[in-house]
Amino acid sequence: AAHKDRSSLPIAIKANELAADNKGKTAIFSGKVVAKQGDITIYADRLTINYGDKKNDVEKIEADGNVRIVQENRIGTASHAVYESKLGRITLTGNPKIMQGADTMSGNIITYFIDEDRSEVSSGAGRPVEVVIHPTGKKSNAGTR
Amino acid sequence: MVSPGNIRLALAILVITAIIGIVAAITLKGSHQAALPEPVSRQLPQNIDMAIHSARFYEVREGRAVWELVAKKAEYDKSGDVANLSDIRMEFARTATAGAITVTAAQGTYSSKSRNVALRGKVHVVTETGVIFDTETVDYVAARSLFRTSDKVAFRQQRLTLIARGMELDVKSQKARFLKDIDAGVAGSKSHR
Repeated sequence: AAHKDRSSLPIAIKANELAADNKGKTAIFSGKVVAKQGDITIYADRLTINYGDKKNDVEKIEADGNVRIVQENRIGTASHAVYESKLGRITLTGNPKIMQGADTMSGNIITYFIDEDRSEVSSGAGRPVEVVIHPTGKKSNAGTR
Repeated sequence: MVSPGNIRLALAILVITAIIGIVAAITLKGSHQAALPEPVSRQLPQNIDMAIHSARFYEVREGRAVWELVAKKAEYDKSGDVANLSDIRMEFARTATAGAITVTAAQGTYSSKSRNVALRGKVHVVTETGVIFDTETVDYVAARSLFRTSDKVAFRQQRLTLIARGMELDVKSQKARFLKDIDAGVAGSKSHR
């Protein structure tokens, strides 16, 4: 199924501090950052908004430090995440893990497709792919590579 | 021979004439004084020594204008160090690495000693690239080329808008740091793919 472009949805962000770099076109939120867009909530120590070259364009949002992404019953954790709202996906690295109900998945890189109830996990850097699915749990369409 | 009665009469007339003359002089002087305009120093508030209309201040470094400030009115107190300004517009010149910045405010002060500027009331800051700050109080610290407030501040940068408490804006790097209670939003983009 094609991804949905979520960039038209507003994002609400709360944090302790913000450093806005007018020339570097970034806004860095830090300290108990909580960002919400539609049904997705991102918790992190730090969140960086990168503006695109085109005026008013948000190219991508990066989260660092104790990253936790919650969408209904799906939770993703990692130390780093890149959210591309136009592509409707989040790429998790740094000990990434996805939990959906009792099922879990971990590996080197996890790509989490927001509107497709689907995640892709790849191994690497000495981290094998591990997927644990409980027969009674809701089937999560976990692709592996 | 002149009789004593006549002498007494002459003396009396003389005294009466003198009294009338004195009274006339006083009356004339009194009315004349009212016509004179009050001296300028008495029109200004007590602690103000001098007032200038459409005052212009500059900061120049290495021969280049860093900023220019225009105030509708500047009043100096006795010390002459601090100018109390009203209806202020402050322009920071564009540099090789940063665009121009324009600041307006209702009132403020300029210290010729420290070259610091304190801005109060409807402080509005706009950068050349369209970044906007609005707050009630801001201090420009000349030694650090830094704007600073501990007040509530509203900020807009492209689709990002926020309210925060406390801010520091480095004029040279044009980096702004918001210190507390950040409540921000990134508006959705208009285009749909």
